[in-house]
Amino acid sequence: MKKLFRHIALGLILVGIMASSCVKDEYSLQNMKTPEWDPNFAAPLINSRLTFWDILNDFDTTDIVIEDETQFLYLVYNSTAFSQTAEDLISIPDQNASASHNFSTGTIAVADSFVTTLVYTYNFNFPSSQVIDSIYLKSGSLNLSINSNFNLPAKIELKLPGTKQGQPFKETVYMNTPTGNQSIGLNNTKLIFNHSGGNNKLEMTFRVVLYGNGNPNQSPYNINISNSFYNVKFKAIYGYLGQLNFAMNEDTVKVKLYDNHFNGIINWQDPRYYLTATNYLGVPVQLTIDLLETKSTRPPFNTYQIVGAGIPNPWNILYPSFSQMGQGVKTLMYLDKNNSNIDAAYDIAPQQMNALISAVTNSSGPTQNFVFDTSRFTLDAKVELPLHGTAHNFTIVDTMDVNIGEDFKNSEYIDWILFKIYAENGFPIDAEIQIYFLDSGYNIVDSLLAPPQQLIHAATPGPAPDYIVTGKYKKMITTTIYNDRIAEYHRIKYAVVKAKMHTFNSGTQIVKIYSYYDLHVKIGAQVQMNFN
Amino acid sequence: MKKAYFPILICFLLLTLKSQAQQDMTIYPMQIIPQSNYSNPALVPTANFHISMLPGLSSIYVEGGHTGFNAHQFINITANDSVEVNLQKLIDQMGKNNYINLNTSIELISFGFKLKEKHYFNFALSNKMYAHASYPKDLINFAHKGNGAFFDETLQFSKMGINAAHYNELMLGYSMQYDDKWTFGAHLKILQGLSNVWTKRADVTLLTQEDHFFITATSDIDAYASLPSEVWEEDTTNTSKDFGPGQYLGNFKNMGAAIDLGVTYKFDDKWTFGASMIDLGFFRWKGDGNRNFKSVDSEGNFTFEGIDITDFIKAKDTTGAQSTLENLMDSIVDIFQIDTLYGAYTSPLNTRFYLSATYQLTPKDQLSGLIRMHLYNRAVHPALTLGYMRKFGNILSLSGTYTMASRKYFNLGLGIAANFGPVQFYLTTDNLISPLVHNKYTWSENNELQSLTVPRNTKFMNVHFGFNFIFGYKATKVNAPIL
Repeated sequence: MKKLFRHIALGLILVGIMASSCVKDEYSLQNMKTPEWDPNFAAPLINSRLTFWDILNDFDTTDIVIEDETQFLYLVYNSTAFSQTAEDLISIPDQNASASHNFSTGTIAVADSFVTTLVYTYNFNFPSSQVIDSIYLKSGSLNLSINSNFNLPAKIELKLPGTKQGQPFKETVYMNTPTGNQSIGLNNTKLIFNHSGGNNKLEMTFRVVLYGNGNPNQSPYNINISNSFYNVKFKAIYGYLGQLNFAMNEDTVKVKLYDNHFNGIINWQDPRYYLTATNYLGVPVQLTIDLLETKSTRPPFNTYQIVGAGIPNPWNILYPSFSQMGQGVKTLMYLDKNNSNIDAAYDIAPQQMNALISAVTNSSGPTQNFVFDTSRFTLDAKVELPLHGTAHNFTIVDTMDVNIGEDFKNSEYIDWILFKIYAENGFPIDAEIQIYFLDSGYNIVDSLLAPPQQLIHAATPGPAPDYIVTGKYKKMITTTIYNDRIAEYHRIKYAVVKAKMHTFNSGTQIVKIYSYYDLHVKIGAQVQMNFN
Repeated sequence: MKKAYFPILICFLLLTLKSQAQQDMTIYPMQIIPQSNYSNPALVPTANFHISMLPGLSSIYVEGGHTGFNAHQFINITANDSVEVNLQKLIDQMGKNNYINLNTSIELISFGFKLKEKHYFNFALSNKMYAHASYPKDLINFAHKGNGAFFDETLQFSKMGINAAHYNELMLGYSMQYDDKWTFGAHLKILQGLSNVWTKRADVTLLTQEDHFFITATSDIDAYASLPSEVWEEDTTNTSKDFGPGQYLGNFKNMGAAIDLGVTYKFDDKWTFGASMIDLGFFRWKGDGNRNFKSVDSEGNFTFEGIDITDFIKAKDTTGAQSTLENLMDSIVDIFQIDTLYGAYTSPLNTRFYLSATYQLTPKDQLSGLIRMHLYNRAVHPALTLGYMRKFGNILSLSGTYTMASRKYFNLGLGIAANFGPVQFYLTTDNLISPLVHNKYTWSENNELQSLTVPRNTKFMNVHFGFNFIFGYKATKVNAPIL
């Protein structure tokens, strides 16, 4: 038994010693090294199939890419050179005139009256030798200012040739004093002019009635009526509108494709220019194209005048007949390489195509015209560039605000960044693309592809006349940016993208671009972090 | 800590001071301890009758462990006396899947008795809790090395999850000595589920392709939880809900059942073999606080191939660009979208299988070998124990064990059963030494030196102890003939 308890005691002592929790090592975390942590993350960034629409990316409602039934693409740039309504073109000046009348009466008994009539022919003053038969007014006023020596109450009735609100024009002015003013509204008024003894005459008839009221007869009586047509706006005019000169500004069609052009040329096989006049005025219009040119507004500055048989000078614009009243009639001028030198004009990589045009109405003499206030004359210009031709060293440069410097403030944690860039090109175009990163002073901080590598190789075009590509060209490049370069990225404010393009076979092969061509781009990034 | 959880936490902590949710390996061959029967119903205790009716003292089992790593393995002192945290070493120590385990069991009352030598009946009422949280090595690897280190390699974030339950168990047992060689036993268990978190499935994968860095992710999640409805309300309304332990422990809506089966075969006077299956059963969680978090599209996968810049080009303005990004995010969210469902569900118990062999060297000395296969979190977790036990009369039994478990291959255990008349005290553990050797970590906080002492090289530790009243355990004295 004693032996047993001795064993138990020893065992308990042993357990007790162990249970005192021996501390083997002691670590001061004050002296702890930062744990080694250098994760490597990779992710896809971009995966896009870019069509020509996407790549161009600057079209809006005035310049678009269109395709024909074969899906062949055209670049189309539009501009409206001139667009004005008849109301903009024709204005009716304010008119002023006065008529006087002297007369005598006998004694006018109470409840009796005396009537006399004044007929006055108003010479309406229209500009540009216009001969107006009738005019429909939508607003304006006829202001009467009457002075007399009447000591009796009076009534003055005015009649004009024409209608107001569909009824014969007749207005009445009551006078209880010798003087008075009256403003007569002219909305919905038709005035009919006569041309006997001169043009644009309006016969005004004033019927003056004096009422006896017991006052003595103070004959001779006199009355002076000043009348003015003020702020008159027309709804329609019929007659001869004379020779109006339109003040057309220089028309400019902006060819945005060349906005960022830096170097090189595109030889367009079939550039086209359309000028379309749409005439709602019942008036013959003649245009004179004083100048038609392409213009490069970036160095090297250049202009190229377009000439050729396709440019009619003068250019008579069709107009609607009376039976076509309310309709617009179009007249088209079309230029291509067959009737002009427009193909050569586009070799200067122009940013603009300018037209200087003047216009005159009724250039052949008086005709019977009509216009409504809303009748419009419009001149639209369109440049159409079928994507058919060659390009050599065609270089575009675009600068963008990127301001990614803030994102690289902690770049010390980045060992390197690897980019994998894959391009599967369905366009028959080679492209050498480089992205330069600039600081606020436009100094180059770095470039993405160092050394430069050609990523995009042209797909091989098929035979004429369609030149459809026979396959796509695939290429992947990788580029690694190490910490010593990344450390400078906090300075980056701008990125300049420079792309130099040639059509197939160094720009010697004619190609066509179709809407189903695309460029499949995949970009992935791998970042080696280092938090040690 | 939310107030509503506090009573439950207290319960859990109290329960960890007693009870027996899972058995330690060392106790298995110590039939002098009646609770050894819990690992194999065919193991008939030595005592003819026992009773344990000291809640909190009858039987307490506590086990904790982490199979992944321990601090000693990745915190080192370098040549210049600085402390280095070596994350790579930490990862190297991990298994493909790693587990954090916590098991407790408190026996409230138990008794057992033999009838006519061949029959043994026993009864136990226990409060048990188990929690197994698992995380894959790939997840830590991903965080440490990034996806760029694993091109064209599918990172498996599978078998993530928590498998935990808190319940009361009423056990009725019966063993029968069929003949001189065979003994059979069974336990029938009625379970009262109190709370449960069960990740049936949480499989997430991530694949990064090297050629274009495309990232493909899949997600298939199916997880259940049954908690007091006040907890969900608190989570939803962000207001504190009070409910007491009585309300919690008195919930009989979540019932379950389990069965244990065991057999022993006495090959000869020396060799005895045993096999058992413990805790084959289920819970039916029918309470109001049930939730099922389930992937809307369990087959869903999403490959991120980069942003299509044509959307931005067409968008023309920031609103359109934002819409494009939102659509992209929606696509990702759709893949990982989780539906919350309500309703009853069934969860399994974590079944264990034991195979044992004992060799009786002498009447006082016994060698034993034990293999345990524990099923949880969709994996088999094996353990092997070799043991030696010596009896010192009827008073003391001492057992020493060697155990391989939790990816640690050297664990020395100890078992003591001391009988002072009818009062028995017992203490067993499968890992005695490692938990006692500590490392001390110090740091300064607010100009005060703080320290933390943690076991140096321990992946698990357990302890099982308690008091029984046992009767009829002494071997019958055979009086020598008087010549």
